Amino acid sequence: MSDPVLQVRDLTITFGRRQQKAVDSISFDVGADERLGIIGQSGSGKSVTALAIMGLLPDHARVTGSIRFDGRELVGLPEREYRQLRGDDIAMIFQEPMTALDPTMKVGRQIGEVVALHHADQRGGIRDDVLTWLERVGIVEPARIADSFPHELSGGQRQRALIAMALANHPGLVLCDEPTTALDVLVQRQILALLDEQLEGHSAIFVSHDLAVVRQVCRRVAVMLEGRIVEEGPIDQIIAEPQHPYTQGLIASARIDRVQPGERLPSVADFYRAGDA
Amino acid sequence: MVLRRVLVRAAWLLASLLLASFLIFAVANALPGDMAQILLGTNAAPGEAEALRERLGLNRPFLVRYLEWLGGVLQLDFGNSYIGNRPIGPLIAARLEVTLSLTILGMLLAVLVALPIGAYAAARRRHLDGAAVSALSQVGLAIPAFWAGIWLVIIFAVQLRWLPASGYVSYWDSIGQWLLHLILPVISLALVQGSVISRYVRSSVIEVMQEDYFRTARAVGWSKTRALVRHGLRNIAISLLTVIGLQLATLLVGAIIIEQVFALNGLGSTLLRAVSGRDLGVVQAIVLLLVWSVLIINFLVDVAYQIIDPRLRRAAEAR
Amino acid sequence: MKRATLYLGLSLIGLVVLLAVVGIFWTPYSPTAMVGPRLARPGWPHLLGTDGFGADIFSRIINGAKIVLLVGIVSVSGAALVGVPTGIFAGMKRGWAGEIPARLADILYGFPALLLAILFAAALGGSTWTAMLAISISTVPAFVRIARAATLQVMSQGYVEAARLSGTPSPSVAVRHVLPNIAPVLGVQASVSFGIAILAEAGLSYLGLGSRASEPTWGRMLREAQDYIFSEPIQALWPGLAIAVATMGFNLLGDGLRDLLDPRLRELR
Repeated sequence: MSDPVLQVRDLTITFGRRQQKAVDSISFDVGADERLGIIGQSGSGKSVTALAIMGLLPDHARVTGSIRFDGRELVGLPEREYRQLRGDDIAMIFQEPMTALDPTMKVGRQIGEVVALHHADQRGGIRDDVLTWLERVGIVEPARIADSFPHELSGGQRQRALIAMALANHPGLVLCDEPTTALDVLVQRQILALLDEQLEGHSAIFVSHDLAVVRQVCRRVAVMLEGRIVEEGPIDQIIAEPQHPYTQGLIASARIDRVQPGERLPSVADFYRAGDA
Repeated sequence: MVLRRVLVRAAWLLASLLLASFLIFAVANALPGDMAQILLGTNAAPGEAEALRERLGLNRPFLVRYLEWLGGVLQLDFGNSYIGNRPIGPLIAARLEVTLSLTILGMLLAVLVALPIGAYAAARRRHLDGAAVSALSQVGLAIPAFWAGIWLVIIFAVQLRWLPASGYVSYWDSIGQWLLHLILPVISLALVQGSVISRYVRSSVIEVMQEDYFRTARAVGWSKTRALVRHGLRNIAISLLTVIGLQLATLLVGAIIIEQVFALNGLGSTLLRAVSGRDLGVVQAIVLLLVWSVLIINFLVDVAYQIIDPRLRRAAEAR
Repeated sequence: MKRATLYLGLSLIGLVVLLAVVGIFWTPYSPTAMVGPRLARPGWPHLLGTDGFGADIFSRIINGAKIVLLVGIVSVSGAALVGVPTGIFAGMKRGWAGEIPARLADILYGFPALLLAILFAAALGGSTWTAMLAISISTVPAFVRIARAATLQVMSQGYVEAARLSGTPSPSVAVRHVLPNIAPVLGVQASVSFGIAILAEAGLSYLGLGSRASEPTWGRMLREAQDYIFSEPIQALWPGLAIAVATMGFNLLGDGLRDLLDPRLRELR
C-alpha cells in the first residue's frame, strides 16, 4: 500500500481558557482512494476534527499534534498557504444545504467562483465547467439551476450543488460532515448513492452519527466518543463484533429488525453511560 | 408580486405624505392669538390688521386654507413669506445647495468610514483593538454633533488655522473652496452618524461570520477578508440600506444644528430665522420639505429592498 | 464583560442623578446670578470657572442635570404611557383594529423630534415644555413598534394561548401575561429613548428653542460658550462633557440590559 494521503497523529484540540478538550489525542490514516467513516454522537469531536483538517477552527481553539496531508504538515501551516489548499486539494461538504449557499448569489456563479479562485488561467470555460459538474451530480436542467438563487432550489438540489462545488477542482481529499442529515429519507438515499459514485477516485472522510449511512459509503470506520477514538476497523467487522460498549449500544439501537413488536428498542445508554468507562 | 407590494407601499406613502402635511399645517396654524396682530405689533391701526388678515387669507376656514396650501405646494408654490412678502419657493431653492452638500457628503463619509471600522471591530472583537474600536463608537454615539463641531473649530480653525471656521462657498464658484469650507461641518456630522452605522455594521458582520455560507466561502479557499467582501457585504448591504435610510432623517436634523455651528446659510438657518421671526409660512414649508424627503427616502429604500433581496422577491411571489 | 457595561452605565447615570438631586436643594452659587469675575478659569472658589456673564459654571452644570432628567423622565414616561398600551393593543388584536395603530406608528417613526419641536416653538414659542412635548410625541412610535413586536411574540406562546382559550378577558391577559413578559424589552427601549431625549433637548436648547434664558441647560451653555471659542475655548468643555456622560450612561444601561436579556431579545430584532 502506498503512503496514506492523510496522516493524523496525536491530534488534540482544546477550546477557551478552561482548556476544554474537544479532541483528545487521536490518530488515524486515510489512504489513497480510501474512505474513512467517523461515527459518534454530537459533541464527540467528529466535526471539530473535520474542521481542524480544514484549518477552519475558531481563533480561540488550540491545536496540537500533527495532521499531514500529502506529506505536508497542516498544523501551524500559514493561513496564506492553507487558503490555496482549501477548495482545491481539500474540500468539504457541510451538513446544512439550506444555509450553506449565499442566498444573494446565483448558484452557478458560486460554483464557478471556486474554480476561478484556484485556476485563474481557466477563466474562459468556467460556465461550461459548471454546467458539466451540475449534470454530473444529477441535476436535470443544469442551465436553469445555475441561473437560480439557492432559495429557488429544493434541499436535494442544493446539496447536489454543494457537492459539485466541492468536487469542481478535483480535490485529493473530501471531508463530508453529515451531508445527508438535514435531508428527508428519500433524498438522503439519492444523495448517498451520488456521493458513493462521485467519491470514486477521491480520498474521503465521512462524518456521521448514523452507522447505516456510513456503511453505504465507507469500508472502514472509526468510532469517536468524548474526543477519543474508541474503536476503529473494517465496518463489517465492527458491526459483527463491536468491542466497546458504546459501539455495542450504537449497533443494538439501530437494529429495529431484532426487536419484537411491543418490546422496547434498546438505546445506547443500556450499554454505555458517560463516565462509566 | 413585487409590483403589487410596491403599489401597496406607494399607497401608504401617499397617505403618510398627506397626514404629515396636515399635521404640519395644523400645528403651524393652531397658534393661539391673532397672527396679524403679532406680526404688526400692538401699535398698528385697526384697519391695518384687517387688511393683513385679508392678504394672508387668515380669515377663511381652516380646511379651505389647508387644501389651498397643499394644492400650491404640489405645484411647487409655497406661498409668500409673512415677512417681506416674498415667494417662499425660490427662497428655499437658493438655500438647498448648502444643506444638500452637507447631508450628502456627511452620509458618504459616515458610510465610507463606518464600513471598514465596523468590519474590523467585528473581526477583532475578541481582541483588545476590536474592543477599543467599539468602545470609541460608544463615545461617538453619546457626543452631540454640535459639540464635536465646536471642538473641531477650536482645534483646526482657531488653534491650527488649517481650515475656515465658518461660511460657505458655492460648488459652482470653486470646488476647492467648497470642499475646504465643508470639511469641518461634514466631519462633525459624520462622526456621530459613522458611530451609529459602524455599530450596526459590526453586529451584522458578526452575524454573517456565523452564517453557514460564510463557512462555505472559507472552505472553498477565500480569505476571511475576501469572503466578507464577496459574500458578507452582499448580505449586509440590503439591511444596511434600510438603516442608512432611517439615519438620513437624523442626518437632516443634525445638519440644521451644524449649520448654526458653522454659520452656514442653509435650510436650517433659514428655518431658525423664520422661527424667531414667527414667519410660519416659511416654517411650515421647510418642515414639510424635510419631513417629506425623509418619508420619500424611506419609501425608496423600502422599494429597493424589495427589488434587491432575492429572498424577499420569492417570498412575495409565494403569497 | 457583560456586567461591566451595565455597571458603567449605572454609575454614569448615578452621577447625573446625584448632581440633579443635590441641585434641587443646593448649588454652590446661584446658577443665574453674577457671582464672580467674568470668564474665570477653573479653580477656587469657582471649581469649573465662570461664564461670560460671571455665573458659576459648576452651579449651572448642576442645574442642567436637573432639567435633563426632568425632560428625560417626563418625555419618556409620557411616550411609554401612550405607546405601550397602543402597541400591546395592536399586537393582541387581529385585523384592521390592530393594523392601523401599527401603520400610524410606522408613518410617524420618521418624524424627527427636533423638527416637531421647531414647529411647536414657531407656533407656541419655545420652552422646556414644548421641547418635552415634541420629544415625547416623537418617541411614541418607537414604543408602539417594540411593544407590538414583543406582544406578538408573547401571544404565540402556549400559556397565553391557554389563558385566552379558557376565557380570560383580553385586558386581564394583557396585564397578567403580556406586560410582565415584555417589560424587559420596554426597559431597554426606555433607556435608549432616554439617551436620545437628552441629545434632542441639548440640540434644542443649543438652538435657543428649548429652555428660556432663566433656566441654564447644558445645550444653552454651549450656545453661549461658542462666543468665546477664540479666547476661552475651555468654556465649551464642561457642558458638552456633561451631555456626553449622561447620554452614554443611558446608552450603556440599554446595552447592558440588552446583553443581560440577550437570548430573548435577539429573536425580536
